Amino acid sequence: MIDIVQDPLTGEWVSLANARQSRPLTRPGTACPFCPGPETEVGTKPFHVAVIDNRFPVFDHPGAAEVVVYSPRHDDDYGYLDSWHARLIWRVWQDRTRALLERPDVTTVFVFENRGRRIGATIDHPHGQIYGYPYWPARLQREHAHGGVPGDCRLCRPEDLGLPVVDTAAWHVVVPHAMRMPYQLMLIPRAHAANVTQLADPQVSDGADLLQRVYQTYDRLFGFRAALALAVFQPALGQHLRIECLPIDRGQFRQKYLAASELAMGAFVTDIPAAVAQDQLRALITAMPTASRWTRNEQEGDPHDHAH
Amino acid sequence: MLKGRWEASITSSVTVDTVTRADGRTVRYYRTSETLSVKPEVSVVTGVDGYVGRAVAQALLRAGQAVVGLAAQLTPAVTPLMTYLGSAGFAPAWEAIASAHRVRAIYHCARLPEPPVPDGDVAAYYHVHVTETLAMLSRWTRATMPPLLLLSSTAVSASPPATASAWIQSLQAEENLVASLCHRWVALRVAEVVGPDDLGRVADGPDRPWARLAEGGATTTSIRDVVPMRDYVSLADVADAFVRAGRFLAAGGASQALNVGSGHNTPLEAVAEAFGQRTADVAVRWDRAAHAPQAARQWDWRPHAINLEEMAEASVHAVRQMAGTGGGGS
Repeated sequence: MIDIVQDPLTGEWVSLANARQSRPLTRPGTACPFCPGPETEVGTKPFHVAVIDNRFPVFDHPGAAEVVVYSPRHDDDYGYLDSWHARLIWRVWQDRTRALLERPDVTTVFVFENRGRRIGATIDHPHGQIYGYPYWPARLQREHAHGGVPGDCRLCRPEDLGLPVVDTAAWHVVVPHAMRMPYQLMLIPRAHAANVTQLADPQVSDGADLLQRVYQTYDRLFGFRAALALAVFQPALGQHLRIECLPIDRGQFRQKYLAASELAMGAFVTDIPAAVAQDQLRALITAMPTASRWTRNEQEGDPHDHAH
Repeated sequence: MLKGRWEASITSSVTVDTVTRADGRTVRYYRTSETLSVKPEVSVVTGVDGYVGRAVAQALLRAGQAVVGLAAQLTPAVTPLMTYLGSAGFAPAWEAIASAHRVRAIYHCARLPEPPVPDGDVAAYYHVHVTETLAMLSRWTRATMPPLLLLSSTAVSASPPATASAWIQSLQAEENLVASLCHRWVALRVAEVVGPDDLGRVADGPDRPWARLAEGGATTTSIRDVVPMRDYVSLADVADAFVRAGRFLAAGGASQALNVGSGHNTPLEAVAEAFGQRTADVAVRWDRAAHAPQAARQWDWRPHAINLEEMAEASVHAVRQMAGTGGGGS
């Protein structure tokens, strides 16, 4: 049973999906529903990336909720996949965004990943999700209301949005002036593209590689596998696509919690100045060779997870 | 056997299989497959069956480069090269070349059939040659953009224009067009080429009628020639200029057009003397200065044969031999 309810005070929409209370948690010793097998969600058919209708959907006609299983391997991670594999995931985002945008009950498509248990991933197997919202989410509504003028794309002026960290052939990376989370990064395609379906092959290749470098940069910054939200904004109204990475830590073993101000008021408080985040992230990401990668240290992980 | 560098490229394709589960939910399985394509890197010589084209191809082979040819006719002159059949503007031939090779450079030595132009309008004639030739090349090169293009003036003009201003105007058009076709280019505006190739052929230019007359034993005749001062350069030196200009470009040299000649202008009367004839109807006084010092500085190219009498003698000898064996020359 899914109810989509509008808040009479703010006009914001909220989805109530009580079936999600019974969704499984994978922990050591339990069977993973995203590993290949006769009884699992993905079955036994070979794949590199699989997309499943979410068994516990937040939206389901109207709207859509899908799970993108990044790999058949349980211990893979987007940041450390082979390049071709990371690029395939972006191709899948393009394919599913295109298909969902054709549906009359989908208003906008949100591609995202919750990386790590501490940010809410209930299944450890590497995966992301795609929501086809049947309404405009509050954040995009506010962006549209705040100077979202058709034909005047603010994303085409990245210097207005944040401090530069690194530029690649097809993408800018900035620390937003108004960081909502410490070390937040914004990846902005240099060429105007309304959504992922409009990215050309070189933008996809470059973007997929860049996002891997960003993941690895966070892991180096914190010294363990960083818990973060990956959010692909496809905002419409003439604005262009952007990708935000929102880590939940403000340092080693210092988590940034969303507390009263953020949860109740929607007013974010961030402890790290943007210029400091810019310096630290730029030093790490520019030192990283683009051709060869840092090797993932299997000993590293999420120290908070081990504490449970 | 092709020597040299090979290009490996990987193209990937994505397939998706959609399966509906027993509970009605859909699973989409994405797989990617990659195809490895390995192509030898080659230089393409157009007009490889011709007088200049064959000599250039042979010089490139001697310099250790992998070469394939493009020829309008598959004659024995194209051997021993791997040669594709077609004119320089024949797109299917270029597509066949591109599908099997990575084209590193084009040495455009083919001369096209002469287009119809108003009688006596030499500038228009030359302009049509330039634009037609390059337009034909562009049908293929715009899609693939070969990194280097070396263009022989013999490829764009069978005869020079009547006036210096028309010539300069045409060259500017040529350079603009060439620049739009490739990453970097050299246009070699070749002076009069003299001397037989290894098949005993001589050039279609002034060399040939002079040599034929000499072979026939004529002592006094009149050849209409609009250029009173000619710069004769040997075929071997021209081929060497192409090889060195190619090296110059490959090393990062800038696009340019140079007049390739010995730098020794010869009055028409002296040309006649060299070939053992007397003649000359002189229509226009104009000569084209060779950029010999510039070529020496930039490409390390210097003409080795500068004695016209010796070169003429070789041409006359070759024509005599061809006449004796019934050969037709170029």
